[in-house]
Amino acid sequence: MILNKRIIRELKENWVRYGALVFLIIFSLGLVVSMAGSTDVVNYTIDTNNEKNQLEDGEFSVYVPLTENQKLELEKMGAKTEESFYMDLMGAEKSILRIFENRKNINTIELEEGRLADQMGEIVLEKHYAENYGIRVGQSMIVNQKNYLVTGIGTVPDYSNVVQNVSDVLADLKQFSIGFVSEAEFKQLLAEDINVEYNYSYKLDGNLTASELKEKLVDLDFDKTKVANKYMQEIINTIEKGKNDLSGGVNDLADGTQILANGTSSLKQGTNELADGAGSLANGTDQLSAGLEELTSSNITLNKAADDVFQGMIAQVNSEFEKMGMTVTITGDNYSAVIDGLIKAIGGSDANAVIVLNTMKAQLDSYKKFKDGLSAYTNGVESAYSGSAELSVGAADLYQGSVAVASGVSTLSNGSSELNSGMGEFKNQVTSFIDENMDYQYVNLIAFLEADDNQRITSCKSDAAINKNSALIAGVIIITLIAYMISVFVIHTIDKESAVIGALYSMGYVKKELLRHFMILPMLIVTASAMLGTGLGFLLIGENIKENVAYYSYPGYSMVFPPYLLIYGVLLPVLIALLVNYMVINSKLSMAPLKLLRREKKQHKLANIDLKEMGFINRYRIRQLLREIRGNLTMFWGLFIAILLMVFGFSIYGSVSAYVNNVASDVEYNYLYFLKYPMENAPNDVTKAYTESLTAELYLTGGEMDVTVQGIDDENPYFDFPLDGEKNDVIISDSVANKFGYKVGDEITLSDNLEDRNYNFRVKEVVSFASGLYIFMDIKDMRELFGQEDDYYNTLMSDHELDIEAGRIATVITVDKMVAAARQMFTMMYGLVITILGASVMLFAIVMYLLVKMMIDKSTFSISLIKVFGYNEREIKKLYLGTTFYTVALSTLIAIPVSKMIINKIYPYMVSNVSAGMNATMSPQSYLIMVAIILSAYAIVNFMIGRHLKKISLVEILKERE
Amino acid sequence: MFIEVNDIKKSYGEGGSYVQVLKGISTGIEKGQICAILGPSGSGKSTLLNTIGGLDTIDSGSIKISNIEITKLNPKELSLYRRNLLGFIFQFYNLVPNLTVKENIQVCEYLTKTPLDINELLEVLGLTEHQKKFPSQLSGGQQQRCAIARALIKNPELLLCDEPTGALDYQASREILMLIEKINKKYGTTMLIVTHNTAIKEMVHRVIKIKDGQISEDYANKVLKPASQLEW
Repeated sequence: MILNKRIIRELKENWVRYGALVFLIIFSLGLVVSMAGSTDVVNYTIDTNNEKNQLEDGEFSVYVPLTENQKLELEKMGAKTEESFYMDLMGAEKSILRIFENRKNINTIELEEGRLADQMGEIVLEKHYAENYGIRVGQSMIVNQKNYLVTGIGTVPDYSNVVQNVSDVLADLKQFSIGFVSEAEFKQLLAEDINVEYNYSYKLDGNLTASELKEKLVDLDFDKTKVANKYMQEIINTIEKGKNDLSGGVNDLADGTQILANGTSSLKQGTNELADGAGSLANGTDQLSAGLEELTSSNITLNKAADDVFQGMIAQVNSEFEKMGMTVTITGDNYSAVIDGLIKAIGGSDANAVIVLNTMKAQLDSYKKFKDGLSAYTNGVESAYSGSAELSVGAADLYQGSVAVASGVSTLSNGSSELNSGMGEFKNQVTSFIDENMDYQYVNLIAFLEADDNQRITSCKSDAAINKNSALIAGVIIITLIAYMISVFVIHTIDKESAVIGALYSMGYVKKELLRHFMILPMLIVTASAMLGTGLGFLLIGENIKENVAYYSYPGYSMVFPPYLLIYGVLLPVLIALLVNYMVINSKLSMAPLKLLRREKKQHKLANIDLKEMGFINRYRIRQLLREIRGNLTMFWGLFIAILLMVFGFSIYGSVSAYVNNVASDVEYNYLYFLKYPMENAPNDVTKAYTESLTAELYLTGGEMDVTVQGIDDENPYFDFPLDGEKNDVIISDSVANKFGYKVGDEITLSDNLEDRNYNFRVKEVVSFASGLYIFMDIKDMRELFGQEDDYYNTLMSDHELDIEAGRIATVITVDKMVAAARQMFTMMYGLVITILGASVMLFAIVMYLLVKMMIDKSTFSISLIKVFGYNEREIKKLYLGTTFYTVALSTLIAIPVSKMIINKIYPYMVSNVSAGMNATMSPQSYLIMVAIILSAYAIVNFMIGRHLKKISLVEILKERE
Repeated sequence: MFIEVNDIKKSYGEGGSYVQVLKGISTGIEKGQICAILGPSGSGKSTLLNTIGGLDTIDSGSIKISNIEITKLNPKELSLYRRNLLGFIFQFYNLVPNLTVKENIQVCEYLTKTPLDINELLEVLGLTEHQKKFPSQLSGGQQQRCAIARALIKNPELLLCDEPTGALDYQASREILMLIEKINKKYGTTMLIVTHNTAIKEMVHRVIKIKDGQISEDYANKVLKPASQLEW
């Protein structure tokens, strides 16, 4: 159709307009396609690499290496395993180099240079590490004070995100990386008693699920005596000692009760005998007492008779003395002295008298002895009686007492017998308790991680996926806007050529032909731009992928041209343009030919609005605004999208900046040690805490994410919030609140996937803590909840570096490292922020320029007319560009808060795979800068349009009107 | 009769703004004739032309062109009718601004399978030397000649001219009228010319005067004055 010849001329005449649109489409699509394409390239490269290098289905770590039989058993069940033991050693500049043995079947090394380390003293390095330290193949490096020859540089699929711990927010490629040594070298390292992590990679053959494998691993026998790790052995010994102590104590107790039972039994027998004896004694004493009583009754008579005999003898002697002429009288008391006096007095003079006296004295002595003896006897009998009476009473009491003792001892004996019997039962129970509960199986499994939950494997792809999805959505929005803008320009052309179109209709042209004709230009522009944009996008993939390549560790990428991207980049814009332009142009061409010939226009109802007594300038501006309502609405949406992009850019900047600042300000300790094997006695100047890692459901992705539950006490100097409340009350960080959407009062459930247990908590408070995803609770409650000892801890917080054996430490986090990681995130995002801001400013300026210029073009007659009337340039600008200001101001006022709300909603999804809570934050300065950018862009566009206004020749315009 | 117009009525608006533009016009024009429709502004002459051209509808009556009752045609058929039978010339030319003279003519050449020879037409209309110029590079008379050429290229049976000289000066107007005369003779095209210019009535076969929506005068000239001799 010859009419189509005008298309090229239309293009030439309006090259600025169409050029700007072409630029916008190429730029937008270039950006979108390169972002989405980069993702596809990354995905393709990673998928290919994963397949080629046999990416694991998951991994697990154990305390004691699996036996060959166990490995065979697992393989029979459907899980092939391969040792992926590692140890963290000190590499260049105090960095940590995780050393593995060369892999054979799973997660094999993809070398980019050199060869595998197959000799002692050789090592293969991860590529970013080698690059960061400028290490090349053939060079040497020191690892753990030992010199190694670097034989190769490469990557492995299970460490595409080279983070030390799976819950780390970011990789620090200078501080941590991985290396591979030969089997022999690794064995030697093992022999050096270095703390090794017994990690295994597995691949399932489809007959076994990951959870079945985990169950099996939990059930696998475990020989605690083979625990190589001395710290673990220490823990086992402590636990076993407790068990043995308990068992020994119970045995001793049982023995004691047996002895007690035996003793009390003998005692019982003795007391019974004692009681019997006491009984006999009581009877005997009774009899004795009776006998003695009888004896006693004759005592007086006996004594009187004896005394009478003695007195008779005294009297006899006194009579003899008288007979002998001696004037002495003796008594029973003095006879001995008197007789001795007599004998002395006689001396040798009368031997017979002396003999008689001695005989008398002897007789008296003998009788006195008898008498005294009898008296003593009767006294004795008397005493015996009295004693026997007492004895009898005592014996009776003794008997009663011994009966009571016998009864008591019998009870005691029975009791001790029962005790002994109970003790036997107790011993059995304790033994079975020990057997059941203290027969520590020491579940060998420390950690179990499926590949899909392992951010070392997934984060690269999920990161890229978020970028891709965002880019694709943004692309559709921008292309729709551009398509609509083009249709607005086409309508402008149709309006301008309305009479010509009417004439063509008059000549017999049908709508279909004209529609086709008017569709050609927009379609041509969109198609060509889309092809160029898509091509450019593919060309820019290399540039776009740079940051990803620099951060993630995977082999050199291979370009792919996914068909969907060609469809998206070329077909989708064409379809959008086709649809939008068809609808708009078709509606415009549906006007009657006569109306077109007469240049009749449908006036929007708004154009007839009553503006009352408004001032002329404002009235004129509003009329112009309403007359060009379609253009102004298009501009509004264009500016809205540009501002949305701008808010997005500033929000990323603000979010990452706030994260960096908050990490630095929220964390008050300088060192945080997570201990695998806590010491019995922690250093004095540290703060103990108890940390567990649980998982929470992430509503944003439907997946799960690790959270750190930390038990602290009220005296913890690094946190100033109170910990009182119910046992399951927790204080969550704002990061957690933000990430998981938790609020105060919420009941939350966290899971321990290894133990298959759920824990319920209630959110008591939300506190500011940017680093990681932390939930705090009272350490006592936490110990109780997790069944730990009253003094258990596994975390140390300190202001200074601690001297702890490396083997005990799981991870050390320093504030400097946290801030450095956060800063790295900032650096990574910086390019994206600049791109987004640049694109938004460009979109803002181009959309505004094109639409304002179009509206001015449509008003050239009016402008020339008011020029004729005598209006000066300033006044004309005021009338026409003032209208634009209304739209710009309105767009800015509406778009900024609305965009912020939209970004607030979208942003969490965009950072859903980051293990930190990040808000879309914008500082007041950012708002000011944004307004300044908008005003500057407006001023520049105004200046350019002002120049265009100057060029409008009233003569030409009036002529054209004819 | 090539054109048969029978009691056509046409009105615009409703209520207070109701205006009856055509109040029962009936006439007929033979094939090959040039007919001038004269009348003051608002008399209904352009409306009559537009209804005959199928650009506007009527309230009642009938219009037959070459035995086709065009009032009963749907928009698509009307397009075909215009495509196959009609040529239009307007007061303001309505040329496609970014097509050259020749290309503007070719725009309508495209609509027929049996177009006239374009070079001959350019020659006849004195546009050969201007054929590569754009409308903005032409004078009003030249632009109107281009518009005539565009209308004629598909060799229409009926040429409808709405104030063809209305935007032209005297000399240019006379040239255009001479061309119309020449074309009529050369191609035998039936022509209907709506004009204010009363001088035209002397060069046409038939004159219809309209006043207030009705034919006030309808006659045929027995002797035609050559356009070159017209004075006004």
